[in-house]
Amino acid sequence: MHCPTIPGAHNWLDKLRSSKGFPLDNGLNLENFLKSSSPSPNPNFSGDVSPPLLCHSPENSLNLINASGFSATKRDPGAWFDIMTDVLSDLFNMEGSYDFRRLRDSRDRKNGRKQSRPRICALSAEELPNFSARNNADNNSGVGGGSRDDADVDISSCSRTEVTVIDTSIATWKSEKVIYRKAHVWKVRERKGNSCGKGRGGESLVLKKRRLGQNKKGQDGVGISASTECLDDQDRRFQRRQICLASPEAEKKQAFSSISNAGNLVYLNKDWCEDGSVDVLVVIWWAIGKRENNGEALATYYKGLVSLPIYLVSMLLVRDQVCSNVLKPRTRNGFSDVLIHWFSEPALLFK
Amino acid sequence: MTFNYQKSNSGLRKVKEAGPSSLPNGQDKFETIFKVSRKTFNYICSLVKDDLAKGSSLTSTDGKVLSPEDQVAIALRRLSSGDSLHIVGEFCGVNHSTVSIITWRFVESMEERAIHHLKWPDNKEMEGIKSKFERIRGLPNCCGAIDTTHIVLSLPSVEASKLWCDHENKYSMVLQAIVDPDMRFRDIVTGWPGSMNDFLTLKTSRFFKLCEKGKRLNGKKVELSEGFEVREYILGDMGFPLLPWLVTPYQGKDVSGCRVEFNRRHFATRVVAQRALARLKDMWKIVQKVMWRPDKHKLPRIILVCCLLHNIIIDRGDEVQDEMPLSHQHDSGYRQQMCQAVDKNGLVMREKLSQYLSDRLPP
Repeated sequence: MHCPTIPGAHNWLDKLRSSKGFPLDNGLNLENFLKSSSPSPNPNFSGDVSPPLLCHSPENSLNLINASGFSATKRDPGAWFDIMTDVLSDLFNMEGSYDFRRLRDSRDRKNGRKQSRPRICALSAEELPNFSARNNADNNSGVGGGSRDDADVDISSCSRTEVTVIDTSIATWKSEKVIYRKAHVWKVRERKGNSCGKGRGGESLVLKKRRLGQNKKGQDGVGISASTECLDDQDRRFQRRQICLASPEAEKKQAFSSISNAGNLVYLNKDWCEDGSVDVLVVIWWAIGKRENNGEALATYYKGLVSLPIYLVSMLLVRDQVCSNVLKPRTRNGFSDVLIHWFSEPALLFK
Repeated sequence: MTFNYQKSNSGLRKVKEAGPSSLPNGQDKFETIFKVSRKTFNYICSLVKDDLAKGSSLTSTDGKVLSPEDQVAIALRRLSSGDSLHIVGEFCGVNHSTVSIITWRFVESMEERAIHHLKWPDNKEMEGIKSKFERIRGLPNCCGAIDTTHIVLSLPSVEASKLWCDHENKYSMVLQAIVDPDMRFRDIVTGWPGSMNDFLTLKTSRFFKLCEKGKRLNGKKVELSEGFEVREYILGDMGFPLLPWLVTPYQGKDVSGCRVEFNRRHFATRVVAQRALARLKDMWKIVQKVMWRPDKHKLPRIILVCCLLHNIIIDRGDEVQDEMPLSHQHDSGYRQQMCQAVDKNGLVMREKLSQYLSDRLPP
């Protein structure tokens, strides 16, 4: 923590106290503080310093100040207690420091809303989850800005819960989110493949992106292919593209060449597709780095080989919907970036 | 359009053909059973009948095909009573699985066909809303009232994670609503687990982002005094942060003078949000009762449709709303949440509003 140089501050404690906004010479040393650790029985609640966990979010531009007024010098003993609690919390990482405030608040605040004699629920910082939400490439996710850096928590160690959220301020008012939660740390992500929610106007997100020319890489570093259009399947949940079956020979060769050069594994047993047991070929591709166009090339290649409707689906869209035991990555030389599978029932993919 | 009761043994037929005494619990009126008047019922049918007529035909237990109107009646019965599928099925003379299918068809259709009943007002409409709010207790330029309620769930142990456990140790789903002075829902957010408090629910909403970016509540300002204008804002209780566009009451025991008066006016104005949520739960009991192991992806959509039905009743001027009690207790067993986040511009605005009301208006 950077402590600015305070005139008259002689030692680290003085500097620390000065940096926290209270005078050096007021007799409020640690011993006094401990002696007065029971704050006044009737503190002005609104004089509390706002809990930092709730409020210190640069994204929402909340300019948090002392709620009782505009001067920080007229703090009551309860406020001093809060300040010292915060200081000690900063110094010694006292996670329980907010307990003091919570206990005090729960004693002092009463105000009715939903019951004639309501009990007060003063949520302390401990009870409030550290909430972090991130938008995907789209701006319509309706997820607020994060309150702390995402990078400090490994998402793989968090519990994962999928929720469907209705937010009528979003054009596509229905969206599916994934909540990653570990203790009091939350992260919210847009669920992959969740871009076709119905809504006012009925225009899908991906179609909108295509129309607006916003086909940019998502934050995962995985691109969304321009060839992935949004259509409605029976559930109207996923995007697919039916590709014309006829293909010039030259185009087929070029496509195959492109795939080979990219080092992807092409896995296709033509007989499987044309023995009558398969109604449709679903090409699922997983683009990595600069290879995001390979999915389109794959589809171009396949359309010359099989007389089946082909659905090209980005792995980005189905990654979270497909059971891992259904799609087994085919690997070659320890590298796998293309998954190909076909189903007689495409709906299996989308369950 | 007439309501076609074809089933020989169904409760629906009893409603029409039998006398009041034959119905349980004195349910002698159409409105008592379906929570809407016949006029509104017919309007709802006109919205969804095409969708309900599609797909495979559904039959009652005695083999009669269910018309779209029958299906609407069954769905409304399910949503309004909150009874189990079995009870509703028995009442309507259909299998419980049929009740489930019909309810879901109805929900999907309503989402699409009736969503225009829940929208943020345009500028012209907003002027009327502001005027009505001001007439309540004099608060100028107020555009809505926000509140949050909980839909309580009963979850199987495998799903009973802390995520869905709220601060009252109940499993619940959150519903946040912004309401106009006629108790019409103007914006809702639902689907988030109960462990999210009022502030977090607000913060994750699109409404919050739009307001922070100045793209909502950005209409005409009103000059209160020389050199001070008040922007558009909504009212919320102490569970919400004090922001330039969200005005909350003064907190604490030391509040006195004009601040007490401000809080009184504030409560009298924002109570429409509490009443709207109370009426929603009272009328559509599927969201009031403890939901038994619900599909948490479907539940938000059911909640949305209940809100749409709530708004349709208001939009159509249905007389059933006149008979509903004006309760404002919608979250029984839940304590008032407290949020300490304040914005300095919000503080200034609240002070000015308080002063203005104190100077200009009689108590």
